[in-house]
Amino acid sequence: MRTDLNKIGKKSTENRFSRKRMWLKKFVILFILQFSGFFTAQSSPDFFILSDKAFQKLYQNPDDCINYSLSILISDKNIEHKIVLRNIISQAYAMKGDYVQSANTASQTEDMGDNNTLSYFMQTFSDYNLADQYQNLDLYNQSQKIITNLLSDSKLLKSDDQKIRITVAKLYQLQALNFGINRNLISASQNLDKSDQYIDNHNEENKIIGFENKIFRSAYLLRQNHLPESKQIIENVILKLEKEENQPYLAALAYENYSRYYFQKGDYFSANNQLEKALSKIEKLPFNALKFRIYESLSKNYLALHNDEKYHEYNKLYIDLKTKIDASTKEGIRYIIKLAESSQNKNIEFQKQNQFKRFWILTLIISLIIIGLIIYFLVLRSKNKELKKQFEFFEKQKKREKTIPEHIQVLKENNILSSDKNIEKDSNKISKEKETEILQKLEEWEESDQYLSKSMSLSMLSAQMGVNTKYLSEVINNNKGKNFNGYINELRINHIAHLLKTDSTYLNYKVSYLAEFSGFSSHSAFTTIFKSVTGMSPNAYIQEITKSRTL
Amino acid sequence: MKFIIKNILILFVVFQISAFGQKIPDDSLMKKARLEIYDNPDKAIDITKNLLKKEKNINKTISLYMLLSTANIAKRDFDESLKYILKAKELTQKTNDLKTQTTVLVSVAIQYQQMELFSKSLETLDEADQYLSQLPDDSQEKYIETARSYAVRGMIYKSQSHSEIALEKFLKSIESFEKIKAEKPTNANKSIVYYNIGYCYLNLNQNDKAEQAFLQSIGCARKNKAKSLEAFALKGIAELYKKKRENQTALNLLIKAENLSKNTGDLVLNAGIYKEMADNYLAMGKQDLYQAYNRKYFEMQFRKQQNELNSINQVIDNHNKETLLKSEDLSNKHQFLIASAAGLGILLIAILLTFIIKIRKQNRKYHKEIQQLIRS
Repeated sequence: MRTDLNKIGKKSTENRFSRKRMWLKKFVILFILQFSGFFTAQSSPDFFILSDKAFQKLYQNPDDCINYSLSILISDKNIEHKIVLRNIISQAYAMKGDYVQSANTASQTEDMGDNNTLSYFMQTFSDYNLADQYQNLDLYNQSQKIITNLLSDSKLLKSDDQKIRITVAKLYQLQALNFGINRNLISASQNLDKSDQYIDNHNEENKIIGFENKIFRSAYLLRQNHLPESKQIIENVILKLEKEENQPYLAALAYENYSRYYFQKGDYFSANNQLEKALSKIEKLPFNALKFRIYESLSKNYLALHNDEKYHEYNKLYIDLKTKIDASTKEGIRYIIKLAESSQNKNIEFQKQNQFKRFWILTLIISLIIIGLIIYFLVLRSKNKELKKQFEFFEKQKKREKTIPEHIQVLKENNILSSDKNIEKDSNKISKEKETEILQKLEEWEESDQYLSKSMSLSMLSAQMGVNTKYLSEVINNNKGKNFNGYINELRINHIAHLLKTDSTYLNYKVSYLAEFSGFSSHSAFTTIFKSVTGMSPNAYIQEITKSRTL
Repeated sequence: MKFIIKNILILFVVFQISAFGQKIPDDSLMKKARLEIYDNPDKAIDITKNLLKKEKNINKTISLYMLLSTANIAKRDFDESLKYILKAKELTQKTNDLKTQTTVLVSVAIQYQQMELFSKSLETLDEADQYLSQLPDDSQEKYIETARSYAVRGMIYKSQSHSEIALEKFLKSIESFEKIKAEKPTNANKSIVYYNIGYCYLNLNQNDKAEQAFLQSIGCARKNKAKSLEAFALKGIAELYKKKRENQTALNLLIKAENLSKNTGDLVLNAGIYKEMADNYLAMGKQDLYQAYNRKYFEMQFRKQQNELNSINQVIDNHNKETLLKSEDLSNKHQFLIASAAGLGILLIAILLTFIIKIRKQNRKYHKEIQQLIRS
C-alpha cells in the first residue's frame, strides 16, 4: 500500500507541477508587467501552453515528456520556467521509478546569473519540489514538516492566483498522502477535502488532480473498511475516465484501486480482471512505479487463486521491478541532500532579498518624508525672509511717517552746523563739505517727487544738482548703501506704498498704472522691485491695505 | 525476497565488523562513535576525525578510517566513504603483517559490496586472495578470511540473481568455515551462509537440498543460541512448504519463528515472517487473518525503512538547524539595520520638525506684527 501511495504521490506531484506551471506563467506575466526591469528573459504566454502540454505528456508517456520538456528547457532562459520544467522532468523520472535521475534533476541548481530575483512563487515552488522529492524517497516526516510550514502561510492560502491555488491543492494532496502513510486516515481525508476546495476544473491540470483526489479518497475509505462508499467513488472515476481519451496512467491507477476493493471482498477473480485492465493500459509505457504495484497485486491474487504458474510469473516480475526501484530509491537519497542544500540556500537568498527590499522600502519612505519636510522647511524659510522684509518695510514706513517733518528740520540744522564746522576745519575736508552739501541736495530732491519721472537718471540728477556724476554716484553708494538705481527705485516704491496706504483712491488703480505713475518703464519691473523692497507683491500689498481698511 | 537478502547481508557485515573490532581494542570514544554511526553520522565522523589526529598506531588508524567510511555510507555520501576506504587500503600496504592486510582487504570488499559497487568489491577480494595465498596453509586466519571472502562473493552473485554461482561460492565458504577450530564465533556466520545456501537451492528449485541447508542453519544457530538466526532458517523452511502448498505446515513453522523472534527486535526478520504468514493466510483464503498480518508486515517494513533513513533524517535536520541559525542571524542583522535606519530617520525628522515649528512661530509673529503695523 505504501508503494501505491508513493506512486499516487508522484502522480499528484506531477499534477501539481502542471498546475504550478500555470501559476508560474500567470505569475511570471504579472511579475514582468510590474517589474519588467527585473526580468530580461522572454515573457512568453506560449510557455504556459508548452508546459501544459509537457504536463499532459507526463501522464501519457514519461519518456516523451522528458524529451519534450528538455527541448523546451534548452531554449528557455527564464529561471522560473526552468524550475518548472525541471520539476516536470523530475516527476517523469519518478513515474518511471528512476529516483536517482529524479532527485538529480530536481537538485540541479539554476545558474542564477544577474537575474537572481526570486519570486514568491519560485520560493513556494522549490519548497514544494523538495517536499515532493522527500516523499518519493520515503522521507515522509521531512516532507510533512515542509508542507505544514508552507500551509501555515495565510498569504499562500488566500491567494486568488490560479497557479498558486493549484499548488496549494497539490500541497494538500501531498500532505494527505503523508498522513495516509502514517495511518492517520482521518487527517488524510480532511486534507483531500481541502485540496478539492482549491480545484476548479478550468484546465487539464485541475481535472487530473481532481481525479487523483477521488482515487485516493476511495483508497482511504477502503482502508477504513467503508467498502460501499469506496466502491461508489472509484466506479464513478472509472466511468468518467473511460470517456477521457489518452489517460492511461490515471485509468490504470483507478483500475488498480478498484481491484483492491474486490481483493478485500475476497473476489480475486474480479480483482484480477481489473488488474489486467490496468496493466493493458500501461503495458508498453514506462510507468514502472505503478506497474510494480500492479504486479504485486496480480501475484497476490494468483496466490489466493492457487494459480502457481501465474503467481510465480508475476511474483518474479514484481520482485525484479521492486529490486530496481528500491535500489534507485536508496541511491536517490544521495542526491536529496544536495537538493535540500540548494533549497535551503535559496530560502536564505529569498529571505535576504525580502529583507533587502523591506529595508529599501523603509529607507525610501523615510527619505521621502525627510525630503518633504526639508522642502516645507525651505518654503517656510523663504516666507520667513519675505515676512521679515515686509516687517522691516512697514516698520521703516511707519518711522518715516513719524519722522519726516522733524527730520527735515533736523537735517537742515545739522547741515548748517556741519557746514560751519567744516569751514572751521582743514581745506582737506572739502570733500566732506561737498558730500554734506550733496546729501542736503538729495534730501531736497527726495522731497520734490522728481524721482517719479521716468526719465530721471544719474546723469540727469547730477546735471540738475550741478555735481559730477561720479561724485554723486559715490556719495549715494556710500550713504544710501546702494547704487543710484536701487536708491531711486526704493524712493519710488516707498512713495507709491505710502500713497497706497494713505490715499484710498490709489487702491483702485491698476498695477500697470501704478507702475507708470511711480516712474517704472514696465509692469513687471515694478512688480519685481516692489516685491524686493516690501517683501510682497503690489497686489498682495493692496489686498493687505484693503483688508485693514475694511476691518 | 531481495530485501531479505540485503538484510542478511547487513547482519553478516555487522558480525564481521564486531569480529574485526575484537582484534583492535576500542577506547570508549571509538565505541561511542560506533554507536552514533546510524543515529547521528555527523557526530560519529567528528569523533572519529578527532581520534584520527591523535592516533599513531597503524592498525587503529586503519580501523578509524573504516569507521569513517561506514559513517559516510550511513550519510549516503559514497564519495567520502570511498576516500576513507582507499586511505585504509593504502595504510595496509605499510604494515608488513599479512594477516592484517588480508583482514582489511576483506573488510574493504564488504564495504564495497554494501555500497553495491560489486566490481570493486570483487577486485578487492582478488587482491585479498593474493595475500591469502601467502598465508601458511594451516593458519586459522587463512580459513577465516577465505570463508569471509567466498561468502562476500556469494552475496554479490546472489544479489545479481546468479544463484548457481552464488551457491558454489557459499559452499566453498562453508568448507573453510568448517576447518576453523574455534567453533563458537564462527557458528553465527556459518548459520548465515547455510541460510543463503538454502535460498539459492530454493531459487534453483532444489527443495530437498534447500531444506537440508536450512536445517544446518538452524543447527548452527542453536549451538550459539542465536534465536533470530534460527527464526530466519525456520522462515526459509516455511517458504519451502508454501511452495509445496502445505500452508498449514508453513504457518506452524512461521508461528514458531515468530515466537523466537519476539524479543529480538529484528525488524527485517519480523517483516519477513509477517509477510510469509500473510501470504499463507491469503493462499488459505483467510482474508481477515491476511489483512491483519499484512498490516503487521507493512508496519514492520515501514519501521525498518524509517530506521534506515534515520541517519539521513539526522543529516537533513542538521542542515535545517544550520539554515535556521543562518536565517536568524540574517533577520537579527536585518532588524538592526531597520532599527538604525528608522532611528536615524526619526531623529532627522524630529530635528526638522523643531526647525519647522520654530520658523512657523516666527512667521506667525511677523504676520501679526505686520498686520498691526498696517492697521496702525
